[in-house]
Amino acid sequence: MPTYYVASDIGGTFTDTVVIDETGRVGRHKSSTVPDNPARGVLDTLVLAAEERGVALGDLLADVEVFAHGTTVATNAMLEGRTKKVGLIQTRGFGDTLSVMRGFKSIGLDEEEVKRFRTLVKQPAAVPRRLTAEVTERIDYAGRVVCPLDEADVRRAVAELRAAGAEVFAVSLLWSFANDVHERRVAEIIVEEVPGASVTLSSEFLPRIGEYERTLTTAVNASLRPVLQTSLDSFEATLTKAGLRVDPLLMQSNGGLATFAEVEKRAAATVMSGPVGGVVASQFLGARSGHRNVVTTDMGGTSFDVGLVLDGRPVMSNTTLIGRDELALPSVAVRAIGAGAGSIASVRNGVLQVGPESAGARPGPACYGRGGTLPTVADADLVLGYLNPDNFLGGRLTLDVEKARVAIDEHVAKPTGLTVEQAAEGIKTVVDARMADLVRQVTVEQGYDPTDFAVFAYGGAGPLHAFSYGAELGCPQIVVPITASVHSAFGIGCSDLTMVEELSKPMQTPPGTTDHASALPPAELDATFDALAARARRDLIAAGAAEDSIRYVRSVEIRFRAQIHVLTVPFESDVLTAADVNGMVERFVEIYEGRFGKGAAFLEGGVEITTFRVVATSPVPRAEFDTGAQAAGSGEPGLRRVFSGGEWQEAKVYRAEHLHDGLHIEGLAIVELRDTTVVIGPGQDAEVDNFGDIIIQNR
Amino acid sequence: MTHPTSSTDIPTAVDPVTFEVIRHKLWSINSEGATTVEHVSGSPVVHATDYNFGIYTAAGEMAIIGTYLLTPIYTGAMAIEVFLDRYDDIEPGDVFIINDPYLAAMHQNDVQFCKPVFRDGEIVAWLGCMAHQVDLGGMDPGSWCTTATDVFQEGIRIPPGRIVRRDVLNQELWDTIVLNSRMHDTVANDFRAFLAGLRVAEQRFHELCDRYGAPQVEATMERTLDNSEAELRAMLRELPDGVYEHTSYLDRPGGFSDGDIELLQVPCRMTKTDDRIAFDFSDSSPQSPAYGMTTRGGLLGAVATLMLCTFGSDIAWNHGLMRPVEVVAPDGLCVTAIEPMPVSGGAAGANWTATCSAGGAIAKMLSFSEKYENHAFGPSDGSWQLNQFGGIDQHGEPFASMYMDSLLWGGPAFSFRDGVDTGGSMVILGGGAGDVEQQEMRHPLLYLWRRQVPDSGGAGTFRGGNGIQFALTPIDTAEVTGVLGTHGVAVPNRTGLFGGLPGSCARFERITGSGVLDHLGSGRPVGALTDLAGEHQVLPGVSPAARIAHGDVFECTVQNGGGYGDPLLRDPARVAADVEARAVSLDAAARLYGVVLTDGGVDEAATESRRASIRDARRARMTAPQRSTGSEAGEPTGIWGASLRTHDGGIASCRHCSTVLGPLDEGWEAIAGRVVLGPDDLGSRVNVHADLAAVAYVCPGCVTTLWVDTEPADGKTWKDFVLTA
Repeated sequence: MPTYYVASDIGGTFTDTVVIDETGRVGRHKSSTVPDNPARGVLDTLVLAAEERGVALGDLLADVEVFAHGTTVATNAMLEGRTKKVGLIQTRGFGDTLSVMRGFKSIGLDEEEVKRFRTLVKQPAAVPRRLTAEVTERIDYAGRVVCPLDEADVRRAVAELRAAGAEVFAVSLLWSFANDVHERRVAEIIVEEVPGASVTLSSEFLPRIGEYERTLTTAVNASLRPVLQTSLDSFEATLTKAGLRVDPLLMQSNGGLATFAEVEKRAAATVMSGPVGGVVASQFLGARSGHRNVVTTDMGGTSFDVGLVLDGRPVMSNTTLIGRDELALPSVAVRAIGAGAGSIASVRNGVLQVGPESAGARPGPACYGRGGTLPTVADADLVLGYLNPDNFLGGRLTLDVEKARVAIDEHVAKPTGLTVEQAAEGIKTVVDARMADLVRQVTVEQGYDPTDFAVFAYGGAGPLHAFSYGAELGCPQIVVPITASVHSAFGIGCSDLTMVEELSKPMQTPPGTTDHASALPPAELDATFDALAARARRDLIAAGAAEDSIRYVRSVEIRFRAQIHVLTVPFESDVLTAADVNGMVERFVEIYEGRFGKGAAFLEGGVEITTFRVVATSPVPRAEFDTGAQAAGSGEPGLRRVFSGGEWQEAKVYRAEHLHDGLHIEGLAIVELRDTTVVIGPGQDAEVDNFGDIIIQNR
Repeated sequence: MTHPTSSTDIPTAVDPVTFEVIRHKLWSINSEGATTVEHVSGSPVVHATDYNFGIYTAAGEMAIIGTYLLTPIYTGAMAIEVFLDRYDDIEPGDVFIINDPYLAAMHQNDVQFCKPVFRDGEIVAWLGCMAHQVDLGGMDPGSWCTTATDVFQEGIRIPPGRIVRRDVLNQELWDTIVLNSRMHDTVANDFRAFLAGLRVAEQRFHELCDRYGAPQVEATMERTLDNSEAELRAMLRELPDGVYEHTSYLDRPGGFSDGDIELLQVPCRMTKTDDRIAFDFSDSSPQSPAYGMTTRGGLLGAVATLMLCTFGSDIAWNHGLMRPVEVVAPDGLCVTAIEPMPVSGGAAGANWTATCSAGGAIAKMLSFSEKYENHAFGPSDGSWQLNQFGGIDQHGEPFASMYMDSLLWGGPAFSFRDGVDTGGSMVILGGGAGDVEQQEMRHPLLYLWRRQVPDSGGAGTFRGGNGIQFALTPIDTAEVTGVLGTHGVAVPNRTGLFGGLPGSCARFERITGSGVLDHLGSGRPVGALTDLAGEHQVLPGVSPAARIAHGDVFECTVQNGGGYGDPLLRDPARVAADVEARAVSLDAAARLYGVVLTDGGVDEAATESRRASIRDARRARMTAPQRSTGSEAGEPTGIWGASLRTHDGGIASCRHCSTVLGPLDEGWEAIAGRVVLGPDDLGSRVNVHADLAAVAYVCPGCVTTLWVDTEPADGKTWKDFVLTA
């Protein structure tokens, strides 16, 4: 009996699914997303998978051992405001925390938007002031009760919030992570007043220092929980009805999987569910092909997303940016700019600009023939000959070259006095340069040089443009993975069950300390880590993990007291000694200076640990896969004219059936795969490796 | 003297594609330099964006500017001008340094490093960076010397010189500066950060030149400047020629009563002719040995900041936005202080007042255009309220910390929207403050509240942004000392536009012996200072050593944004929403907006009658226009904001009721009714110094307020505008 391992990435436009069987055979399938019924799009891809394998859908589903997916449900609900009304309870004197936003009005905006003072306003607060109530109580930095909780005041607050329309409750009191006695009592009172109420406590959900982000994240989580639960219940029911027998898993922003029961409690931790899959996939494939340092580049219709894999691990961020809100939840770091196939080109003052405005999927690029008249990057790619009008998205959409030419002529060529081809190449040059600039920025900010990284290119347009931005960066290798068109789905299938537990417990060393363990006693650190590990273990076991399969990584967020940057530094051992603590501080100095420059560390002023973190993972069963590389290809590649470097040139055109292990391709060349087009630039060579990945190198 | 610069013979042609690619790469180089400075420094001050990094042309014009703290933005260009002027042996590998406020800085803390970039023996560009140093000596820690009477009591002054000569560090100069700081290591670290940032940016700049050729890079920089200049000039030509004037005041406390508070004036007379604009501050008060004098660097920074944030909102930021601009002011005024005036407060004193007066003048001009009236805003940033605390912290260690909470003032209202609440600053577009918990973890001060103050933004058809108020009490320490400094205590700097009311004034307040911790410990809430016993005291705007002992409470309330348009014209539903959101009190809703609410909803009939009675009262108090109103007006020719319509022959009518007011030739003030406003007509925290009056200019027809200003009690000495026929 066959066994299948299935992973789906439900994106805004397409649902991508990867099906691997026990022999390692990989199927890649794509279908349109059905926004109000995400399970429908998944089933559509599985129908394709079943057809390809010649089995019935129900049989295929019955033989699925693992089903994992990424979803935009939480993201969309948040961005579109389709969430539950939260009644928020805060410490007296601090009920304006969310609307004050610590005074920032520029988070999540680009420089152009920040400099336009007249339109620079804050986003609406996550919870409006009328749904926020203050209660009399106060706990100080040491966890001491400065003012006892006034229970009658809590009852009044709950009544007030209900009257204002609160559907669910969130509680975020100052210093609750240091002492949760008041928050717990508030929760009891809420349930006494409103039996069955949904209550999220900041001390339970996110015991981290920093009341703005903790309150924001707790409130967002409370508002998303019911929405996500409804959606997941219906998703699971649909798949179960169709024959799925296992509990589906969901991708979290931190790059790990969790059960529905777990994510229901941590709904806000899924807002980056889809995009991080690509980074995990790059990590996985990079490890296989010996690339420890990878820049992941995902160029889609509207945005260009960049992530990093350093020494075999994805670079994480302590926060998750969603729209203009920064949630205090760890995520795989992904930076985006508005540069994609749909980015619109325009001319102002004789200057050519591309993006950030996008034609999106509707009306889309002019060449889509859906009513778009403005020239986009995709139109340029078509005019230049990179795209085959008859083989786009596997032939599902025929592109209109004439419409693309008219749009470019009208809006770019005429205003600049260039020919249509020159204008098209100009559009491509500008967008490629912007992408190269972003990649450079992302690596430099981490203290690295892009020439030490391989570029992994995926997403609808990444493989077409990577030859250009990769070459400009001087990266030694540009890898278009065989999974490029379904890369995120593939990454979701490569992920482990993951639980992150955190607690802020500030500890300082006095200035001049040399034996750091004297101020940061190992036993005290151990006790905190052990408590966190126990929680993570309990949750992973509940999710079906075997106890002995669980691995733990213990780390602290630490900074120099006189300086501002906080870094996450892991401990190597499970039971800490004084040497481990001092070693951790040495490691911190090392990482700090690696990232911020020699001499930037300022150890004499003492250090401060703010937060303890345990990341617990347990592998999900998966097959060793064989991505379908062939021993020998068949047939001769075709030829097509491509406008490159200011002139029309002949380019060889390869198709999937031409590819085989060890195939050498000389640029200028094009490889047309089913759902994506790969370009090897002039002056570049490519090899197809034994996994089917295409590796491009500057000659 | 000649300088080896090549700016005269650069080609003007760069194709549109290469231009855009190079332009974006220059941005990327600039941000890489800035990131390097920020990273290596690690200083909290740098992280509050009190630094900048820029790429300048060979002649020293700003080619690339980011959105940092903007007030010192112009001093880099001034510094390069000084270097080019004084040195004729500039060579590759030189790095210049300066902080002399009389030449090219706002105050001594702002140290600037500049490095010329050479190609083939000629300077093709300059790179510059600046950051506020935490301490450079002087009589007070932090080098904000609030009681200094001359510059020699303040931080070290660094004349223009070379900190690196032909790639060799000038160790003697370096040591001299570092040794004069109370924070040797931090200053040395920031200097290292400067050198690292300059090195990285220079290397990348060379790579860019290697790839595209230096002439193409230079041509790109020139063209970005030319484009911005051309766009600005085109915009200026769309606006009427004339003289526009606004005045703001700098109140210098000598004590607690108005009699003890000296008012300095900073009027800005702005003349716009065709595509040029001149800001004249010549009538500003003379310099005096008081805290807050600013130098020419501060004044030019004030004007440059406004040019960027008004005209530059849709135009690329660079020196092109300053080319058509002239700033006129003789030396020796409070905005052009010279030696030996103390200027350590020059980063947060009269330069801010100049921003307010110049901002008002620009708004008055922009409002003559239906296309640009939505660009106009009232004085945007009133005062930087310095709250620096020091003492022994809860860990038994010495501490000193500037609380950034006072950055959270309300923004100005526009013709189409309310001001931003708690965080509306223009001078730091991307700035903000830290979490309460972060502050409490590090410093021995417990917050009692940090909240938005209702009614603190000026009322208006669109209201000014409300601002922050925070209260602190020492915990686990015997006492802390506050260094406090602000203006805008005795008079609002944040006046409104077109009938909008001024925002609230700044205030420092203290209660000694409040017993607040016992009060809280017994479970009693503290909602306001009035809930507490003890001796209540409003502190002077400049308090160099305010003692805050265990059991005392300190409260800071910021200056906030002015409104836009008569509050009586605000949509009552918006007032109701504001009341629900606690942005506006019920009292202000009724008193200032004339809106009556019943069970949270608008009582329309009661509101209508309440508004009518407010208008009746206004009419009764109105002094009639000095000139009789006309009855005939020709074809409309334009508008002036929400208030006036202009007609052929220089006649104005009320834009609200169309009543013909009369000819504009003797100033519009002469054809409007005048109502002197009292405390009941203003927001609750607006103080008006005894020498001044808050005055509403109203339409004699419909008595809608057309403008509210603070002006000398014995009469306004300027005209808001005089158009050139």
